[in-house]
Amino acid sequence: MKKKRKQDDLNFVQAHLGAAPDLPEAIRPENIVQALTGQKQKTPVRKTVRRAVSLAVAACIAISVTVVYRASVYAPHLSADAVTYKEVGTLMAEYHRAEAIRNSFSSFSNFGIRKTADNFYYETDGVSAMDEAAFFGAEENVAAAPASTEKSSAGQTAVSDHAETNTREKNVFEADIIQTDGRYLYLLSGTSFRIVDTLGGMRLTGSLELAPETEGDAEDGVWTDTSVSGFYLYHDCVIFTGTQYTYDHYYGSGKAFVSVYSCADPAQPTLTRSLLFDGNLLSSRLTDGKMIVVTRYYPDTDKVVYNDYSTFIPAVYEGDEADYLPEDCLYLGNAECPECFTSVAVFSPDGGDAQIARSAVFGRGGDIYCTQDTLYVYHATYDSGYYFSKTFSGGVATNILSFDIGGDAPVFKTKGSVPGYLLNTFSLDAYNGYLRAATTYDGKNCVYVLDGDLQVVGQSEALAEGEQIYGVRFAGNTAYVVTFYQTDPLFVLDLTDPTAPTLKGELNLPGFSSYLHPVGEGLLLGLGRGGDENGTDGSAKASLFDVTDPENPREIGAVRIPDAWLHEDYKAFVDMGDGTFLIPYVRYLDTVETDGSGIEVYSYEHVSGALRLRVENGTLSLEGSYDVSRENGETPRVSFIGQTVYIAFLESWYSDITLCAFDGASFTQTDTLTLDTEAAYMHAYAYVD
Amino acid sequence: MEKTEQKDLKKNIRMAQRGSGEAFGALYAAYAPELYRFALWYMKDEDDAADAVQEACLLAFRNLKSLKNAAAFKSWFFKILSNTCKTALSKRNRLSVVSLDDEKTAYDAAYFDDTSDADALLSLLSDLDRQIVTMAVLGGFTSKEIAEHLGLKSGTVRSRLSRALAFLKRNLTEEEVLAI
Repeated sequence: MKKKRKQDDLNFVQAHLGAAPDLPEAIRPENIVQALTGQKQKTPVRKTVRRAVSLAVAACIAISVTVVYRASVYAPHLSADAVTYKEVGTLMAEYHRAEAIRNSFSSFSNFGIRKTADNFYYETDGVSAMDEAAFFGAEENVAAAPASTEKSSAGQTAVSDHAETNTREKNVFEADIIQTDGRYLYLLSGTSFRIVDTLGGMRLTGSLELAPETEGDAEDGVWTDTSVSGFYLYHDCVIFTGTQYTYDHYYGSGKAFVSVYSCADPAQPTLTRSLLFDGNLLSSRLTDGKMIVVTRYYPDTDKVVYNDYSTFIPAVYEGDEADYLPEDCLYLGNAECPECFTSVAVFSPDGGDAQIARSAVFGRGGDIYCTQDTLYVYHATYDSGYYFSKTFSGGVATNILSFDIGGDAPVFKTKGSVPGYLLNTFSLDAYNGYLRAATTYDGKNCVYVLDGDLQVVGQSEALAEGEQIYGVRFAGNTAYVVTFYQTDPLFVLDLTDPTAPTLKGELNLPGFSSYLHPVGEGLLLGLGRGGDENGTDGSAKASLFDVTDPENPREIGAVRIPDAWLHEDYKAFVDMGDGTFLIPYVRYLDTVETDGSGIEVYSYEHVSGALRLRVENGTLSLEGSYDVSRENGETPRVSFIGQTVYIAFLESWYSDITLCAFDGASFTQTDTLTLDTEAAYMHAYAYVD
Repeated sequence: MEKTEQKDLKKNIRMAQRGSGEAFGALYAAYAPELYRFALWYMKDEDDAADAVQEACLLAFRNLKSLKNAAAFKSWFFKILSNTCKTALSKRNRLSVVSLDDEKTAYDAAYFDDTSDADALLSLLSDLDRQIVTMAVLGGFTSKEIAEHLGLKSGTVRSRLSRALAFLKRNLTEEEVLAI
C-alpha cells in the first residue's frame, strides 16, 4: 500500500521534471557504441539450481463454514465532541477560506480549528500539521492473518502445522500478502493473487487479477490504479482490502475497497461481496468475526458544496447506492486538519448484506493500533509552537483517537495527545484499562501512561537523551524500550503503578534491536543490527535477553551475520511453534575488483532467504538458512507447511515471484515454482509504505 | 512494461551479451537521457556526469553477461552508474562522506509561488535528500538499495524520501488549491 503510494508520488514527481538535458557529444549512443569497439565481456560463472519434487504433504479439503452475523445498531451520540453535518460544512468552508487567504499571502503559516463549548475558533498561524505517513513513512499495515480455516476431511490427515503470521495483538488478525491454510499457499503480488497447491509438489491452482483490465489506460487523462494492501483468510473466504485510486490528470482520489471471494473451490475464486468506502484505506483488522476498516477521506475541494452534505460526508457503496455516514455518528476529532474525515466501519465479512456500522471523526488519523475491544488511530502532528504552547514548547505531538469496537458498532470514545512521535504500532499498548505510549520527542524518550479518557496520568523519566527509540515492546506491567545512538541501551520499565512508571534497569550493547519478541518466561528475542562501540557495523544481529530480573537485564545469546539485513517488518517474522523462528534476510556479497586496465568491475550477488533461529534452554543458536542466491533480490515473506519451508523470492520489485520449497530439516531446496504475475511486486519488497 | 517492449529489450540484451555494441547502443539509447540526468544531479557537474555515464556504459557492457533477468536491466544499469558516481565523487573528494546533519529544511523555510517544475524544487533539497530522491525517481531504486548505497539505515531513507516527496508534491500542486 505505502509502497504503491510512494510509487505514485515518484511517478508524480517524475512527470513534473523538466525536459531532459541534451546529451553531451561523448555519451551520445553512437559514440558509446564506438567506444565499445574492442571491449571484451566478462564471462560469469553460473550456478546451477537443484530441482526436485517435494514430498507430498497430507491433504485436506475444504468444508465451508458459514457464520451468520447480523449487526447494526447505530450508536447514539455519547461524546461531547458530536458535530452535525452543518457544523462540519461550516468548519470546512472556514478552513478553505483561510487556506485561500494563506495562499494569497504566500506565508508559510497554517491553520487550526478548536471547538470550545459551542463556539468554533479558527486560528491562522496556528497548527502546522504534517501527515504522519508522509513524514515518518508510517505504513498501511500489511500484515499477516492466520488461516482460521476449518478445513478437514474424512480419510485424510489434515496438516495442522503451518505458518500463522505474526500480529501486533493476539487474536486481532491483520491482512497479509502470503498465507497458508495447511495445504494451499495464498499469495498476493501487487494486484495479482495466486493460489498454489502444495500437495505433491507445488502447482498453481487458482489465480485472480484484482485490477480492472483497463487499469492504467489513460482515457482523457483519467485512469485508475488499484493498490491491494493484503488479504485475510476467513473460513473459506479470501478478503482483500486496499484502495482504488482514480487519477484525473495527476489529481487522484481514492476509494477503499473490501472484496470478499469465496475460495471453496480454490481453482475458481468467486466474488461474493464488494464494498467501496470514500477515502483511502488506512488499515484494517479482523477480530471476533468482525472486519474493522479504517479510512481517511479528503473530500474533493473542487466539488464540495458546503450546504450539501452529499458532497463531503463519506459514504459506503455496495452496488451503486451511496450510504452516507449517519449524522449521529459524526464527531469532531483533533481538528488541526478540518478538511478530512477518519472513518471506522465494522461489519461481518461473510454476513451477506449485513449492515455496515460506522463512526467517524472530522479530522485526521494515521496509523492504527487495535485490540479486541478498542481501536486507536494515531498520527503525529508538527506544530509551530503556538497551538500546543500551553502543554508543549512546540514540536511534535501524537494525537490519538479511540473507538470502542467491542460491540456491533464502533463508537467514538475520546481523543488525547502525547508529546513526541511513536515509532510504530508497538509503541502503543493497552493493558488493564490504561494505554501506554513510548515516544521520542526533542531528543528525549519517555513512556507515558494514559487513562481511559486518554489523559496522561503518569510519565517516566527521560531515557537516553539525544538518542531515539528504535524498538519497543510492552509485556503486561513491563515496558522494554531500545534506544540507539552508538550503542544500544535496552531499558526495562516497571508500569505497575500507572502514575509512576519507573526505570528498573538497563543494558548497554553494541548495535540495536528494532523488533522485540517475547519468547517465553523472562526471555526476549531482539532482532536488529549488530555493531561496535562506534555504531552499527553492517551486520544483522539477533539477541536473546534474559529479563527475569528487571533490574539486571542480560544478553545471554547472540547471532551475528555480517553484511546482512533482517526483514524489518514484524509480519514477516514466523514462529514455527517448536522453539524455532524464521526471519527473512538478505546478505550482500557484492564485490568490486579492479581489472588490468584499472577499471572497477562490480559483481553482485545477494543471498536471500530465511534464517532459522532456535531458542532452547536459555540459548540462542542459528539452525541454518534457506537460501536463494541471485545477483539481486529479496525475500519479502517466508512460510511453512509441516516440514517444508517456502521462500517467496523476488528478484526485483517488478519481477515474478519465485516460490522456493526447502526441506526444513536439511535446508536443501526441493522445488521451485515461478508465478507469472502481471508486472507486479510484493509490497513487502523494500517495505511497505 | 509492454510485452513487445519487453521482447525487444530481451532480444537486445541477448545480442549485446554476445558482444553486439549496436544492440547495447540501442539499450543505452532508451535510457540515456535519464542516466545522464541522474549523473548530473549526482555529480552536479556536466563533464563529470558525462564521464560517469561513459564509464558506467563500459562497465555495463563488460559485465552484461552476468545480468540474468532482462527486466532488471534498467535498475542494474542505474546501480552501476550510481556506484560509478559514488566512486568518482569520493575520489575527487567533493562529498566523501554524506553527512546526516545537513538537515537543510527547505520544507519549512521556503514557500514557492512560481516554481512549477520539479527540477527547480529538487535543487532546494539538501544534497543527501536530493540524492535519495534522484535515486528513487530516476533510478527506481528501492529504499533499501538507496540505504546500502549511501550507508544509511533504510528507515532513514524512507522517512527522508517520504518527506522530500511530500514537499515536492505539495509545492507542485500548490497552484491547484481552490480559492474561495
